[in-house]
Amino acid sequence: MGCANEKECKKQVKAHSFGLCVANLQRKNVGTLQTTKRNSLGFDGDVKYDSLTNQETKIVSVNQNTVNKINVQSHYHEGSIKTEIDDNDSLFFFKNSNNLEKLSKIKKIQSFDQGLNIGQYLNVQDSTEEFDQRRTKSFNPNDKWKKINEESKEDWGMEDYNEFLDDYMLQTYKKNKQKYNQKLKAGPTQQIRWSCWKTKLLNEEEYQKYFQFKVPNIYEYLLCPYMSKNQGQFYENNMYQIVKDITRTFPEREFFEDKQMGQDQLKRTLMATSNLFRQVGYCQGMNFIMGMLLLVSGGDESSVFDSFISLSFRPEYMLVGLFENGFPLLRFLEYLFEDLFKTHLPELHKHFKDQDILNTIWLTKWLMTLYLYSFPLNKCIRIMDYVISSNIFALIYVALEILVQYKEQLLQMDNMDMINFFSKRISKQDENSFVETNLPSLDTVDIEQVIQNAKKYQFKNSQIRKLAVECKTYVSEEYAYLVDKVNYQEQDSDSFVQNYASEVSNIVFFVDYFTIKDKTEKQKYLEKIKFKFINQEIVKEKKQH
Amino acid sequence: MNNTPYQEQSQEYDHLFKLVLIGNSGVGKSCMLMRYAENTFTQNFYNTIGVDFKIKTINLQGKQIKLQIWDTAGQDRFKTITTNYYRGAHGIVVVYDVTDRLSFENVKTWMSEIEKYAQENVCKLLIGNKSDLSDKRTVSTEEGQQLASSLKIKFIETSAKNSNNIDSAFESMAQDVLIRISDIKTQQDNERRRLKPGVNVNEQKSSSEGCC
Repeated sequence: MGCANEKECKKQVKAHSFGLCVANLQRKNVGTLQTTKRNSLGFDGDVKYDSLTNQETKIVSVNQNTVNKINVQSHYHEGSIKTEIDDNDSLFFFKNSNNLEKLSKIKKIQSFDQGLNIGQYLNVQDSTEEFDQRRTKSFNPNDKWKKINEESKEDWGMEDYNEFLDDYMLQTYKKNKQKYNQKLKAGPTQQIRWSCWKTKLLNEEEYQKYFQFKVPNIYEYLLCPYMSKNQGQFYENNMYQIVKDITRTFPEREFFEDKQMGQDQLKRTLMATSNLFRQVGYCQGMNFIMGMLLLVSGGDESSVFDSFISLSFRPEYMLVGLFENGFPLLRFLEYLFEDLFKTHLPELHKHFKDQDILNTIWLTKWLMTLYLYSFPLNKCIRIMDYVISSNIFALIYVALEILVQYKEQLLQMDNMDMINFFSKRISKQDENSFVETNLPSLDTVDIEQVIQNAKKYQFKNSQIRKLAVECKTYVSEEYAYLVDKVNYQEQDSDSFVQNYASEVSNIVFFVDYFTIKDKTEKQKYLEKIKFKFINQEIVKEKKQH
Repeated sequence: MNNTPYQEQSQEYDHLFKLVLIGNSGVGKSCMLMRYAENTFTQNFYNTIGVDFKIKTINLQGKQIKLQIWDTAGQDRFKTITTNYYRGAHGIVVVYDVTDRLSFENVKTWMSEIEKYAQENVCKLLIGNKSDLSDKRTVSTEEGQQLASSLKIKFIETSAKNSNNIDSAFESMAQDVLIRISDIKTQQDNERRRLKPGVNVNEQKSSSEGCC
């Protein structure tokens, strides 16, 4: 399904979901229109575009079998979130037509080889020649595609290619998962990366094993106005923070420039996420991860959201632990890292201790944002290839190998140099800055080398279980020590102790998962984790036995 | 003598002061720091994760003073991470946004965090940032002043955008720290005279002067 031209689009667009439809209209303006099959929503109805030319766009929304007409205004008016939630029906906000035009001028896809819509929002420098060199080791669907084209007399378009690509990836995955992972680790080209990630994260067979939601498209469901209404203050707190971070997520990228499509998509995906995580809501750091997924996918927002869920709760990744109170996954990864660091780089480890360099100065940021806060995007995307192809522990193997690359330099640095080295020094556009330093830059890390060498640090499952047990003890003891200290110093510390206690219990609860050996037990525990962290309103009720 | 090959050109300094910026998310802590340390303003900023840091060397009363300024993430749940940095601080700056009422209302919470985690004699300063956005202002200068005087701390309004008061804010903070440090020094010297040889003076010094 799709519109042949913009005129037709304006007339009437039939789509399964309102949000997706408008997203597609926006895509139409940038040269592609694509409706993904996965995105069939529980609701149906017609979506009409009254006008694309007026400053104020009127849209008919479909919301749980009722059709509402709403006014949509430019909502990035500095203002508070209040102006936005005033209009409860207009949960989807879209930009006015001027911006659409602006967008279409920026993004024009010229030909099949120039990247299709996949990865179109990545800058030129993101696709270096390295990608071409890796082509032989990674996926190569294009020969097959060309062959199909030659054999057939028909004129195949971009939509057909995308369909072909998804199918190609799925077949490759089904045939040999191990090989698929190797190819993913080797690094697909920008053009096909999203299809490749998506296949791994969202293929139905595995996705349905882990996730059973009330409606087929959980994304649209989470964005329903009543979902937000139900959350009350929780929702408002989340919105307060999300609105602040929207403009601070990859602002140097065209896609996320003021009032561009990227900001809308980011806002919606983060809103949906905050409605999904019933305890934590939105947590800073999510914005970079979501932003990266949007960039890589070329704005395929619904699938981006599904992928985020998949990354959050699938046993290989468990990303939910990065954001929950007390940052349980972060604490566990840092604990594992400490073990590797001591074992493999004792000299440097001692140097860090001597210079009093705390993890929070560097490792916390690397892990919490999947490196996006401190490293160039193209390198982080490669790290992501590696993580998706294996598991979340890849993150710490990468951290260690990065230290290996800078080992000699780091040994020469004192406390201040090191803090400086790990801090975000100068934003790239500010070249006139007069702070001079001859410290090496993390930007120059050889990420291919890192990924190649990282596997030698790999933990055995038994080691991870052992360290998980240790980590639990460590965290509890640290807590006991701190509470003791605080009580001694002052009386009025109840709320502090309570907060801290709940963080610690969160950490212990989460890390417990990694102590379990038995597969069925593990599966059961995963359900417990999901029950604790996922908003139960969206989960299908289990049949009572 | 250089002990590392990477040290910045301005090696020499008489004092090293550690300052920490705290306050709600999005009030402009990073922008203020960017304006102060590098004299640039950009709205193209990443929201701070955990802690970040900048350095600036200034001259005060003929003394070279190196300011090590820590920038912190504003979201509540990062507090467990950021409060680690209060302990070693000489000065803590609480920032709110004059266009964001909530950030002003939260100043008290931030102050109580200081009580909990920082040293007793830490210097404090309250800043109302974004004073350039006069038409969006929701917190008046008087309110800021009132709050500051009820908390018995200094107050100043700044704009990282047009650079207003940024330098003077940090310099007044540095000035306060300098005064406090020399007070402590005098006290220590007095005490030291009373002490018998063999007592570890360093220990005493480091606990009162603060370190990271």
